[in-house]
Amino acid sequence: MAAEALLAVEDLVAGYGPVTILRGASLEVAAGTVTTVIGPNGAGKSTLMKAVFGLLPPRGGRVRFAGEEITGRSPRELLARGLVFVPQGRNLFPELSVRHNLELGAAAFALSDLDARVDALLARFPVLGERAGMQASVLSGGEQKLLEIARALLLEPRLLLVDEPSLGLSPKMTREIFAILTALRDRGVAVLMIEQNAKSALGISDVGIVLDQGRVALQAPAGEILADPRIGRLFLGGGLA
Amino acid sequence: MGNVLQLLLAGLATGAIYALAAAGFALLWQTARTINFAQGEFVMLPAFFVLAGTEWLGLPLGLAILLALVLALLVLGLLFKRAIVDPLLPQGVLPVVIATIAVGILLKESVKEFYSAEAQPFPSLVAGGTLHLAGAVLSLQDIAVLLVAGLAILAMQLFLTRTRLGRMMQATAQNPEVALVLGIPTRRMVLYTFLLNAALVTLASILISPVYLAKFDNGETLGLIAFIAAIVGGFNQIRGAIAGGFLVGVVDNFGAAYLSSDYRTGILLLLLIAVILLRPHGLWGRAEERTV
Repeated sequence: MAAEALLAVEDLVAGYGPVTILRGASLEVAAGTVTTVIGPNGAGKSTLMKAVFGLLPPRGGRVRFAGEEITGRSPRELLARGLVFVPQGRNLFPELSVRHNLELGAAAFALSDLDARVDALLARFPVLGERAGMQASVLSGGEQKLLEIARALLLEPRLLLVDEPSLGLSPKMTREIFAILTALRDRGVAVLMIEQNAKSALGISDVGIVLDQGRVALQAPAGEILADPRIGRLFLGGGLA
Repeated sequence: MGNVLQLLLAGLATGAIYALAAAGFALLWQTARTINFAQGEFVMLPAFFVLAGTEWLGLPLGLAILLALVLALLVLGLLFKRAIVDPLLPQGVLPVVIATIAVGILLKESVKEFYSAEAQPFPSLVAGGTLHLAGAVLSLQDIAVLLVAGLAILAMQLFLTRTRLGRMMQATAQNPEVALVLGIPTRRMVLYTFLLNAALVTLASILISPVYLAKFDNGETLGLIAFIAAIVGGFNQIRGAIAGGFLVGVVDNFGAAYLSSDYRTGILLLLLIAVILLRPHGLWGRAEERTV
């Protein structure tokens, strides 16, 4: 693991109403790595993402990004610092065109080179480029997820948080999305991902994190987690070793 | 033929005014889940702001209209949102609905109490007169109303679809959670929606009052018809509500001329029932899913 973490989460506590879900989670994400968080349902994976990204006020603990404390900062402030988030499920504006959806990635900022950035992304992802003028609703599920990721890249982030990118996608599309995430790493963008599809996700990751009952039970190289028979039985459906 | 053209133009002219109010309905519903049952009174009130400016303060009409707009933005936009909608919306849609009914009564009774219970003549923006075209006698007033309201609607649509601010407002309306993730200041966008609605009702008020005179209870019919227009067109689509406004205006006019002027509201209600039965999300609206 790199010496200095890009993202450092320390003893983060968060929840909804009377329920505390995250009970002191600590983890680190190094620059230029793909890190996957796995864990059973209710372990607090999505809550972790929301608390880091300022969508849910933390009740305790700290979040540091690139050496700066960002605990509880608003999404807009985090976007400005190079942290972006692709939530679970469908997050597009179905009636707007692919291009307009893409442009909304920078909605909160006045970018002088917006058109050039959008054109570059449309060229980088030809499946979107070919459909730039169409309504986003005509895209397949996988293409929509791709558009969400492309939209997140508009601000040229340093860290991409992505919650269950493969949810509802075909195995083929999942592989494509994962290939895009690893390509991001090769461009120097760090990825912190939550995945139910743990085996495939850990397969492309540098680091794995096991979250259990609101705490980090284990942070280790992804290969080690994949090889660990206990983890296999617990979270990966067994039969791994 | 000439008669049909005449009725069509007059219908489109009143329809354009309904469209302004109906678009406001749709805007508030989309961004703030607010069904504003005081929308009719919102259209009634700015005319009295103008009259107060000209009669009480002796202002020229242009300045009085400007004053009315500022007052409407403050009272029907900012104050309405801060004092009524913000505190009540967390309790659900129904408390807001009931509160807006109360606001409507308050506005109506206040105008009656503090200004007048009588219908007030309201200055027209254009001189009266007629235009003869293809055997039809067209009212210049209708043409002016249609032009002004049409341009305002066009400008609003361009603003919402072509400008960055407009698209942020649309994004907030369509999916506030995602808008927040994209860093859009959603609360400010919701406030802008209320201000936009206040501007729309001010324009509607200034356009309709020369025709129907300014009266404290004008809002009852106006609000009902604009509400019908929004539902017929599609409550969750601004362009649907606008189209609904025009349609209702035309149906109302033809119904009154060819069927019965006594039952003109009844005809609109039949249209409403038919749409709800056959196409519940409105003619141009989209089916809405709600996740809790």
